[in-house]
Amino acid sequence: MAGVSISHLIIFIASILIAGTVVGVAFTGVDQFNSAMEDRSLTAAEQLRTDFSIISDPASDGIYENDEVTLLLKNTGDMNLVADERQINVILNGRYVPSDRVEVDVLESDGNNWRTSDVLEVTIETDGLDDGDHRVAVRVNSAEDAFEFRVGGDD
Amino acid sequence: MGISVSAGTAVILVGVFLMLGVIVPGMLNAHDRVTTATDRMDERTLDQKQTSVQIERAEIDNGTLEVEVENTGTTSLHLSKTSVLVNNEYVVPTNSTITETNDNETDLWLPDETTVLEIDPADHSEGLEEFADVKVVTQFGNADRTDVEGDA
Repeated sequence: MAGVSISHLIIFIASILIAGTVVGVAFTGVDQFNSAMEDRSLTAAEQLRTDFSIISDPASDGIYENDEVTLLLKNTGDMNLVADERQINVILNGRYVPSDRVEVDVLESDGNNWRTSDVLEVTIETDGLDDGDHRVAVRVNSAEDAFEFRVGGDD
Repeated sequence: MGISVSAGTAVILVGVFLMLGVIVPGMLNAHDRVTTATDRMDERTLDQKQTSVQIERAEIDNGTLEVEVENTGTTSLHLSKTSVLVNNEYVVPTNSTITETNDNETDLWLPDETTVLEIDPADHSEGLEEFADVKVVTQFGNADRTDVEGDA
């Protein structure tokens, strides 16, 4: 009789332990899923709230000077952005421009806080552009805008 | 045996309820965050579609560049959030006056109102005689561009 009670007790403890382990493992998975979902939603929300426009005047002579392309970007989104060369991806004529060849400056403002409606000056160092049509694409936080201009058109 | 199964099931059920308690608020928060951002983006797109400005006049008058711009859209704009480029260089107007009300204190630029933006040549790297074109950009990115008239 005592042997039956002990075996029942062992089965009881084992079932509790197994159930607890299953719940613990599942809970860890759920917690990780929850954190990932929160991170993903934050990123998605940031991407949706980010927008900008390249406001430079393509008809102006000042776009390409001294082997540098200068663009003006206006923050037309809902959130303040960080003016950092590493956060701003530039593609010039289909080629990626490394961040050490890009300089950014928030006009009429100190620091690197690119607030909504503020204008950011982006200077892209080049190896010299041939006369003709050129295209720059800028991407920030998955928001993208492209700009086309001509070099040496009326010389 | 029966009590062992019941206890194990009870532990799993409590665990499931705890997990639901963690995951449901998380899902609701994530959904709410993305929905709010989507709504804001839709509002912004609508505002952008409903915004339009037109430069009526850009001329040099008494050593100052005056740019007269009409809000031809249906949204209220902010003068402080409007950008002006002269010869592709960003400048901040020294004064802006709504002509209908002769008000130069307000920041609001309502539909059908015309504002006169005054630009001091000292704020620009080139001289007044070099001023060739002006571009006005609203807070939503809508823009108009024109040539500067008149001699310095």
